[in-house]
Amino acid sequence: MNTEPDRPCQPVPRSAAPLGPDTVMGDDLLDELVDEAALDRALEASPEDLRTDLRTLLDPGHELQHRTVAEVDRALRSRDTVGAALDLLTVGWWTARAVLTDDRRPADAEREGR
Amino acid sequence: MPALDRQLRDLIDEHAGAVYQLAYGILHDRGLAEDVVQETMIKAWRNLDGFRGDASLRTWVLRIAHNTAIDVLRRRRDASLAPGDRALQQVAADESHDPAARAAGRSDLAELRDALGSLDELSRSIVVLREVEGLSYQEIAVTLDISTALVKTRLLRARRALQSAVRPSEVT
Repeated sequence: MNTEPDRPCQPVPRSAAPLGPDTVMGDDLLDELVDEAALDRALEASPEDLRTDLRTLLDPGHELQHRTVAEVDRALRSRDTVGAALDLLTVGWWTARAVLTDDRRPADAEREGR
Repeated sequence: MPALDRQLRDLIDEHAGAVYQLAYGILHDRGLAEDVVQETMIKAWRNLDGFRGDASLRTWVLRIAHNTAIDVLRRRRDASLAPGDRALQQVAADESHDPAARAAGRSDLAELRDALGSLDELSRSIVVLREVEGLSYQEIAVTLDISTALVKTRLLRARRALQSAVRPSEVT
């Protein structure tokens, strides 16, 4: 038998959430309590070697712009084609429905003088 | 060369490189990073009318890129292959295919990539935006919608982690 009193579900506090390499750490509030002046001093040392290595590591190469232009163009054309096909299908469906059904509403009959 | 809209072409010319670097820094996958570049360019171009100019165009585009990359990362997490596993596979694959690493013949770049991959995604974004793109703390805070204090603390920790991975003797 459940002896626990009824309680609404409580969200798990972020600080209690499990941490992994790809999770945002749960100590944001603690992060912001650090003395900002001390942080500025610590950040003053410019890590030029690290910057250079990161730029080398993340270098997009010379062809990125060309590839992006080509792929974006293809994606936009593809989306245009799909959109046009859907429009055609919609028009076709409504046309077929109008031709194949005898759905004459009273307003139609009235307009036709019946 | 396809005849794209002039504004879209300008967006690609000016921002594709920065968007790629941010996306690759987050995702550790060159193919996915290029997908993010394309998606970001199309989103930015279609929403240019909504750009109010509160921040710079660069910051605005990078914010779209960050959100797009995070969406991709979440989709990858939902898939059977976790991004951490994928990142490790990518490191092995890139040993032979990454032009930068191959040309330089440097194993420390692979170590740096591993170390970058071991950071949380927010710290990865901060490191790339600061050290590679050269954004100010304020611009990074606006781009990622966090405080400047958080930008600084994460940046300092990330720098130390990366430097200790690549040049352990230089970290104090």
